[in-house]
Amino acid sequence: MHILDEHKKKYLNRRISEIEELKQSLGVDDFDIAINIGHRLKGNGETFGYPIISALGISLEQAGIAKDKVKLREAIKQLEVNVEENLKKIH
Amino acid sequence: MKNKNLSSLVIIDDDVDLLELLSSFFRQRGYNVSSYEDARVALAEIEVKKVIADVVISDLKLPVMSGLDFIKRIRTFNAVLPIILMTAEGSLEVAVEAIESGAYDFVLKPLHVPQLLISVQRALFLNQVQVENTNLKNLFNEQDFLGLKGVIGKSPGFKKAMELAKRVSSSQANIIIFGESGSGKEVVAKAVHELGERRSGPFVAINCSAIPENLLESELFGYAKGAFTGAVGSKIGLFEEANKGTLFLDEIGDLALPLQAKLLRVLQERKIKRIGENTTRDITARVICATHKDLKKEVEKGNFREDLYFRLNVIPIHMPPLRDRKEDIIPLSEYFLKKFSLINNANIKGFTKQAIKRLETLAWKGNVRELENAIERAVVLSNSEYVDLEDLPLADLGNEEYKAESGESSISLFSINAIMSLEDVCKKYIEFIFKKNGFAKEQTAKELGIDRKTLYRKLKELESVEHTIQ
Repeated sequence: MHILDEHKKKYLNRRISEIEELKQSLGVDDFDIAINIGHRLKGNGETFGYPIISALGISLEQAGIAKDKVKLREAIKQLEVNVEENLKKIH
Repeated sequence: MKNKNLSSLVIIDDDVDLLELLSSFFRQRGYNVSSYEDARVALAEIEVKKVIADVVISDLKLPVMSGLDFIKRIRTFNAVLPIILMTAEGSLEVAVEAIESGAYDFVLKPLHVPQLLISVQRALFLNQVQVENTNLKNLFNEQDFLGLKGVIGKSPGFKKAMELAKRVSSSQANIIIFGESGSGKEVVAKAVHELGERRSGPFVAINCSAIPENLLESELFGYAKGAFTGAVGSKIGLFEEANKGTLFLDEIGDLALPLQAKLLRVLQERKIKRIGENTTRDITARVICATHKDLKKEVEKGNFREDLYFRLNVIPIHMPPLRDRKEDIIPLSEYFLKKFSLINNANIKGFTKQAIKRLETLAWKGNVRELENAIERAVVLSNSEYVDLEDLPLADLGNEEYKAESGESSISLFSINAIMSLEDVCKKYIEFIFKKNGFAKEQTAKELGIDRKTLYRKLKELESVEHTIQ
């Protein structure tokens, strides 16, 4: 299914604010945020044409459940890079 | 890909991205979409505000009220609304639980949106079939006479016939139903069957005039193997088939004399012999006969056995023709309209005033059957929400006006022996056109080529027509 760039851009921009939220949650050990955001990305990334975001959603959710801050930090970093790359492709 | 689609979707997901994407996708395809992030809000809108939903798409994992809880709540007031659940939890257990809870389908995230579209289309089809099914059930349940479904009539003649049918239903006496073709003799016979103790048994009907004599005998009595050329196996007859039930012999007046003798013996002895057999078999079926003929006259002419006539004529029930129970025309018409609208998926709400007048005016010589056919035709032909004059027959076959209109017998309009004056011919013609148009003045004036004022003046001169108007 073809997704309009307009939808994709909106989708990716929402991720930027979520990445900030994830970074802040690491500082206060709030793993529920990673579990919830990870679960949502798992479900919607591929639908918008971003299977890597779905895969990173799984990593975030699992790391959040395991309260593994190392893996969480790594997943957030990869997500940030991926979102930026995809945004550049649209621009 | 835009197409006209008036179906309504309710989409529930706390994932705003998906909610927007799905709403946009379905709106582009012509669906009316209502979207919600919270299942409780969606539930309240559907239950209280009566938001129209033909199909619901809901996420499984939602804050506060889950998709499963939503289904359970919906099912308390809507048993059939198809709900498609979406989830990123792809376990078999979750899928089974969802379906067991009443979900129509279960789709996995990440979503393949075209696949979701197919699921929605199938759910809509299911919903349509369920709604049609419910409407049909309601239609057949709402008409109720003496506890019988689909039996319609409030005229004194109809009520008298049906009440007599009720009274005799528990007796064993022979019943014969008299009535014109299409007047509903079989409805009375079925009422006797349904209201009596044999209702759990079969109701077997046969039209005696529709089957050749030699074939009818084997149909009624059955035959043994080798009884005649072509009898390669044995066959039970309708008397046996109707065991513990009712055998309805329609148009008994057309039964050939040799068969009349055999029927008389069966009614007297309550035993039959299959053709080609020597042994007799007991029969337990109740026999109800019907005819459109005047059997007394047929006896006088020698066409019907007198002894059989007396045997059958224990309890005669007379079903009046439709023209003698005009009160039933509109209720029957409305019933048939609903029935055929549902069958033909036509959104027809009723009749125009003029159409109602036409229905009440026609002679309906073919009785209820003719009326039913006319309404079916009208439903199929009608281009609007209301059946109008042009959808109805000008008049029924055999009706004088129809013949005149169609040119079959133009003399019938003025079928008198004396020579008429020009004035009388004019009056007669105006009356004819006025009646033909269901007493619609504007249409009559138009057809006559005169203005309304002139028509009013002419109508005043026609006492008989004036009387009809009042």
